[in-house]
Amino acid sequence: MTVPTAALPRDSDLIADSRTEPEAFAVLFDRYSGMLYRYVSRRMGPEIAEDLVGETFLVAFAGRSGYDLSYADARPWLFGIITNLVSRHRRTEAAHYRALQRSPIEDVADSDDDRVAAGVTARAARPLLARALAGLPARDRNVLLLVAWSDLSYEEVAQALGVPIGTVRSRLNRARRKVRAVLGDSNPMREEN
Amino acid sequence: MDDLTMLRDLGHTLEHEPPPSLVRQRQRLLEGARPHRRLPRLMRGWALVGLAAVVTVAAIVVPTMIVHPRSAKTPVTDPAARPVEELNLLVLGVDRRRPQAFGKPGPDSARTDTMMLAHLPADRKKITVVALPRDLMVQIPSCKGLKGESIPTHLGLINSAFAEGGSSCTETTVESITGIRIDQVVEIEFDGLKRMVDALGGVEITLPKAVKDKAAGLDLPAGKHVVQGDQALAYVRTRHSLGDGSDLSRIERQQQFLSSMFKKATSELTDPARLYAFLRETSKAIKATPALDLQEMAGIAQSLAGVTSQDFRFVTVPWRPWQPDPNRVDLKQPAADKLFTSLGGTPPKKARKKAR
Repeated sequence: MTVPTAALPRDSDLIADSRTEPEAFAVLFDRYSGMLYRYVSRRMGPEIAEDLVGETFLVAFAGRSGYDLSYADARPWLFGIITNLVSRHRRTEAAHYRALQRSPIEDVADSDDDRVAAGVTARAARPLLARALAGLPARDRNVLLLVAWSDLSYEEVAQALGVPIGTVRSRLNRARRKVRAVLGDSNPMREEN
Repeated sequence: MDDLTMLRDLGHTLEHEPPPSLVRQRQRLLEGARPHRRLPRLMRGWALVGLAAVVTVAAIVVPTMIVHPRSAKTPVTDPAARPVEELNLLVLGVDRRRPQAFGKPGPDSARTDTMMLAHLPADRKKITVVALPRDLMVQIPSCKGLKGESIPTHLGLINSAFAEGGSSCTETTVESITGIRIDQVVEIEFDGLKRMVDALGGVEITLPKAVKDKAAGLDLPAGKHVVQGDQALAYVRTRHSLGDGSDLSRIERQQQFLSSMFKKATSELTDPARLYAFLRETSKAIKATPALDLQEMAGIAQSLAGVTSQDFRFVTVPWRPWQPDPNRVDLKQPAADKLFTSLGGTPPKKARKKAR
């Protein structure tokens, strides 16, 4: 999302303002609620997404005095909060992935049902990917999905999760290896070494 | 295909666009509160309106409480002398004093923070107070602007009616959307609370810890204190030096302050002279159109004798996200018209349909 930034206050300015003028925080909501909604609707489904977004901003608002104003961009902070909230709903997320594994592949009219590795479309791979995601430890899944489904850089993912960037890289590698193993287009044994 | 690419594709197929109802979460943020059921009955649905609401409730409820049957001997207007009629008040919480950090108050800085329609039926049994959200989009009928210019009918935020044409334009606007005849417009300023506290000779507060907040003008040790106007205002306004900094804790504090104020009022104002002094200060804090004299104020208060805070029904007008901009809201029909009709209004259905 590209926004002309010249005239707009930075996120950190808004957070600073909101300490004396709470209404300023609503601008952050206007900026990022859609983005967070889209992200969390992917992980949890739309039913609970709205509430989680609302919760995220309440948590952020309550913690605004602790925000380090040297970070101009608040997105890593907000993604960090929503990731924590998602982990409180682990069972909902698991159920979401289970449903995806079962869900019929609706529009594969052109499918001749040979699932050769190279021919696997994302839609056809859906149940496999869902199974892979469900099988990941939460901390690896958090890294993988922030990298794949948000616009955050590795450094920002590290900031969001409060871990060193090296940890982001190693968790990402481990998660991707497992996903590939489930997809079956590579030999997991060979990948391990 | 690369596993990350496949995952991104999966993400796209799973993604949902934010629904208009997401605006409810924005409202929730502004209310700064958890679900309403955790709030005390009096403040339910009122989190949004903040300090102005405290002042408003103080202005309506405090006189009510003090003219409770126990103190009914106070020589206010003889209720028999005046037939009790239905009464509709439009209460506007006006913030003319911007916080210091945001520049000196100018002539243009007045804005309505709170807008409420209080319906007092002739039997005075159930008082309904309808809050009108400030982001409500309505047809503002043609009004005379503050500088005498005429402003044509247009679609706008309900509180822009005040900025453009003052209280009379606000009154016309509310009358036209609700079909409820407004008898009285009452403007209340932030200062109002201060004056009322002073007239009561101070209100007791309890501080869990010492507070030294230069910005708010509070410097008090922990424990019980009787605070006067300025300190009282600082106490209910401050967010940072007390509680956890959230709006919820501030609302709780305001609520405690109100009940402490009631206590003081009911115990102290048995003396008619002091009651009158209190009403006089209250009348200075509010601006009523048409003007309300002390006798009339006392009369309203008297007509409410026996009404307790339990007899107040606080509701927010039924609303839904406004289609063109989900950060704004418009009236949710038919629920809104139903509410207005139940309060004796005749909402202009046809006119509204045409306007859309």
